[in-house]
Amino acid sequence: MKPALLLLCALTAPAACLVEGRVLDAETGKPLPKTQVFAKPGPLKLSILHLTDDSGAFCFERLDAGAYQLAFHRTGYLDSLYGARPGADQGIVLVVDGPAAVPPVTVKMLRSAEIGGTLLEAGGEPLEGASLQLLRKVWDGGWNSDVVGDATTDDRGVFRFGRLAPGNYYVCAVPSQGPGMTTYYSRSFTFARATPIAVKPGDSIDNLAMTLNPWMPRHLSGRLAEALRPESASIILQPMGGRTHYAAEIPPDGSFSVDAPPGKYRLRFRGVPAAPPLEIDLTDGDITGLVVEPQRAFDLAISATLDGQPAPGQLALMVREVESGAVLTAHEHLNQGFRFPAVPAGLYRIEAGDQGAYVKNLIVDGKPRRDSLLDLRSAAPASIEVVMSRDVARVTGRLENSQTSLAVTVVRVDQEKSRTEALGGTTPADHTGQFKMDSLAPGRYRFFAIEGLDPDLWGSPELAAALAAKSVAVELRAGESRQLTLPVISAEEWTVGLRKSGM
Amino acid sequence: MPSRCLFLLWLLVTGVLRAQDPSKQLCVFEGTVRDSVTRQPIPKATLHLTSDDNHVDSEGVTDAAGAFRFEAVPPGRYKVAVTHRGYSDETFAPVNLAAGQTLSNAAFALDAEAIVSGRVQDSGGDPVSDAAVYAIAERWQRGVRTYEPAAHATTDDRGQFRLKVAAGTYYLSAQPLSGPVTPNRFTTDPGKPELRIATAYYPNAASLEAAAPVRLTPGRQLDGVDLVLPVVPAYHVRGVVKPYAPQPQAGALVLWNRSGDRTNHSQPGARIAPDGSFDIPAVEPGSYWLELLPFAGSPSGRMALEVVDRDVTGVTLAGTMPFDLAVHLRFDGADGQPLPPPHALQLEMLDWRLFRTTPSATVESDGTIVFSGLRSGQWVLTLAPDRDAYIQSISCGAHELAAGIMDFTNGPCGDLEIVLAGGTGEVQGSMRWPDPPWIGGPVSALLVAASGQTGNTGARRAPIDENGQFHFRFVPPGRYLVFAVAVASAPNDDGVWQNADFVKEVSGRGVAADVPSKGSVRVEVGILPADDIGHAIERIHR
Repeated sequence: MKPALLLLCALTAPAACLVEGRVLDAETGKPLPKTQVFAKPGPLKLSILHLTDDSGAFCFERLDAGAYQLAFHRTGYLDSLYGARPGADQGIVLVVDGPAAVPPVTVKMLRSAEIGGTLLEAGGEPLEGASLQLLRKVWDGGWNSDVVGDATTDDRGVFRFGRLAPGNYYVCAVPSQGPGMTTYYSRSFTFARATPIAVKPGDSIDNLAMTLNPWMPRHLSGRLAEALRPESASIILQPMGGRTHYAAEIPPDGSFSVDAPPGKYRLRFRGVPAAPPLEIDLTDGDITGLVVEPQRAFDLAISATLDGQPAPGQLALMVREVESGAVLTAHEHLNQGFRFPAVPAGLYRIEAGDQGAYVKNLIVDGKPRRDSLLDLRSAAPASIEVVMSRDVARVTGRLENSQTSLAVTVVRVDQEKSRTEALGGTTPADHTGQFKMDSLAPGRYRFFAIEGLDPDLWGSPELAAALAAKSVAVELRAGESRQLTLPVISAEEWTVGLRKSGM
Repeated sequence: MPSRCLFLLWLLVTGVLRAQDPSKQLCVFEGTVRDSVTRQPIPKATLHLTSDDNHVDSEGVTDAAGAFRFEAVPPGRYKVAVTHRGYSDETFAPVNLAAGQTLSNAAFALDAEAIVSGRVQDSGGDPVSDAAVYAIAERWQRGVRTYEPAAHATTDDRGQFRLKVAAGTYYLSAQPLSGPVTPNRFTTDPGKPELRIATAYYPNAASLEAAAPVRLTPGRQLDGVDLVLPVVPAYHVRGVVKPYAPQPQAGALVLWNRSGDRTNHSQPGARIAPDGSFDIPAVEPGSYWLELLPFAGSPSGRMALEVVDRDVTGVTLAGTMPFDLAVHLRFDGADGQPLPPPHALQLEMLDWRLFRTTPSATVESDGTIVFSGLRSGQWVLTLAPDRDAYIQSISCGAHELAAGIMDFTNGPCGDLEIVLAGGTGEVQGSMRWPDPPWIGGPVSALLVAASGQTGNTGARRAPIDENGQFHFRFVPPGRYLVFAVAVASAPNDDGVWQNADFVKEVSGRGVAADVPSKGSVRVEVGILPADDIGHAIERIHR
């Protein structure tokens, strides 16, 4: 970058490096000379900039004691932080303490990729000022879309997303004005039918031709059942994986009629609390004559004790629907117990909402339920008592191999939380490979140590199953402290697992 | 002076009167919208017809031939706002529709926006991503030149940018922003000098003073604007604000370039510690104003600062708490006129930067007018020219203020004594319409003191009627220059008329008028073209 700086580095390169390493191309393994290497000592402190030499090597021989992150910048490559996957801002921290050198590091930089093209309106004219979103698949109760980039077309209708890490992407155009509908590349109305764009390191895809779909809405009509008719209400169609909502007023006769682009929607009714949330699919055709019946729901009052005492006010209790994992939370209310209004019919598990406490016993109509399950499928019980305890378990541990090139995250799956999702919690392993998790309820768990985990992609039971061979299952008892040693699931194994699980 | 006036949009409205059903008295308004340069029709342009006289608020769109038609419009005086993507918004006024009139062949021309594209790189030739690229326009504020951002863009990962801006004359600059991974200030070893990537001005000048402006005609596409950001040593500015009373949030310090460039300043976040001390890092060498930004109820202040080749330490910035200003008004001599109401007095900050403050006035039982909530800076007080009175002198603590400028940089000076005088005069004027016909947009008459002094003798405008007549009333006696000039496109463009050098440059093109006390003077003026104004500004250039 700067010849003057380069000279400075060359002149002062001594034998002993406190922090040293090499920067390589991730694909070819070739050294990357003249790469900017920043030793970042934390906020407000001045970063130290060196350049790599012809062999891709760098060496910081003088650094004040402290914790550093290493950041790398090279034209044509993704900016990277040592130990972080592309785009993440938490890498591996290097601790400089006195004259002892930190073990040499190797950094593999990925060439950055781009996706660009031209957006035309339905009539074929370039569309200026339209918004485009770059999407990728993430786990959000299921494989869903997440916006990872925004772009606006210029006066020529041209758009571009740069600085892309390899992966599968989707492009979606949202018309800002004039006719036209949200369009997923290539011409889909829905994310589910969008065409993924596979991007490899260094790819330059600059010829995407997109034409906005013309305004050709689907139609939904129906009525609210007699028992639901309110004074004033409206119907709202909330697209799954989209942003624009479609809404219509509902007249006193309870009939409704609304147009929206093809796609799947969550249906909500404003002003009709007893209406159930519904999911409808307008992808392939209209829906007419939908009759919305009231949802069966129960008001729950739950009394609770904590280690034999009345539950304190700040304590929270959750009911979790077993199939979906959906959660309702309540706080203790003026020594009246926990109140959950309008809980839809279903099978629930009761959990403590706070760290540091767990549900030890559930007593329904005077009878203990050892599985903590609350059956609301046909009726609500007359009395529900919860016995909570602070006698939690804790886990400390270390990784079998702490010499990884990306930071390792420990993932805990609580085996009883959900049947449809791998739910639990995460904690980072520190630079020595140690980790700990406090405040665990007694129960069955599975622990994974994953190099380069992207938490947005975690949650699929298939993914957890695909990686289970390198996980550790434990059953924790009340008050227990357990030591674990976890094998590390490498970044490559994680990628293979993602592929197997439908990502 | 933005040179968009040099490429004026023109409005040519030829009315064709036709008989209409007199019982309805409604009007028809039709015409075309075209590109001012290519003369091609602009389809899908939006026209917004509004009127202050009645409640008409009507919108129309041009067809494929650029034609529009409003039917059944009540008679009245209208404004027509014409907009289209890729063109600068423009408002044409007045459009007068008489009862039953059909106004055909209205021809509106829009200026296509200009496009500037290029690359920003560092001194090693690597692209600089996330750099802020500005098109900077020269503006005038009460005779003082400032530089304001007119448009900005951010470079992508290839260092490329594409900037759309209204036609005009601009300076172009690029300054680095800190990326999520790569900082823009650093050093090569602990204890070595701090370095930063610095701002560059097109064509690769280190300062705005050394830069060359680019002239962007409507629809011009200027490619290949490449800027190289140098690495320069950077310094700290350390010191203390005294007195300092943070409430409720801590104050913020900003370093502004003294060139008047409002895009180039130290990044926000130079916070002040509770004891008033501060440490601003990464300051490029240069001439600055160090300014304490005024939050409600907290002190403000400003001082000049030079950063040369080392850290500047031990700076003491005087903080001025918000203060009140008492104003005592009286007429000169035994003149028994009623005093003007407080709202006729306008107190205005002369050199505001980020926050414009307009203090509110209250009247005490003894007639004293009190403005509250003033802050450190230079101020002017003006009297609205709507009665037979003018400000003869302003003194503060027994000192008469030159040109009526009140310098409160270091706090208040005491109560203001304002002496008013009656006996204003009048200027009656007429304008010769040029031949060939004028196509430079609306024109108004402009009256400026021959001295071009800023202060409480601002430049005044008056409308010119269909017959070319105009009229200035309540003019303080004295020597003036009268011009006829196009209506300014930017609200503060009249500020150049308060610059003495500029007025001297154009004085030969105006008509001198000695306004007598209680009398009237007649003048006849020709139009001063915008081009000539632009050239005069260039001649007084810095």
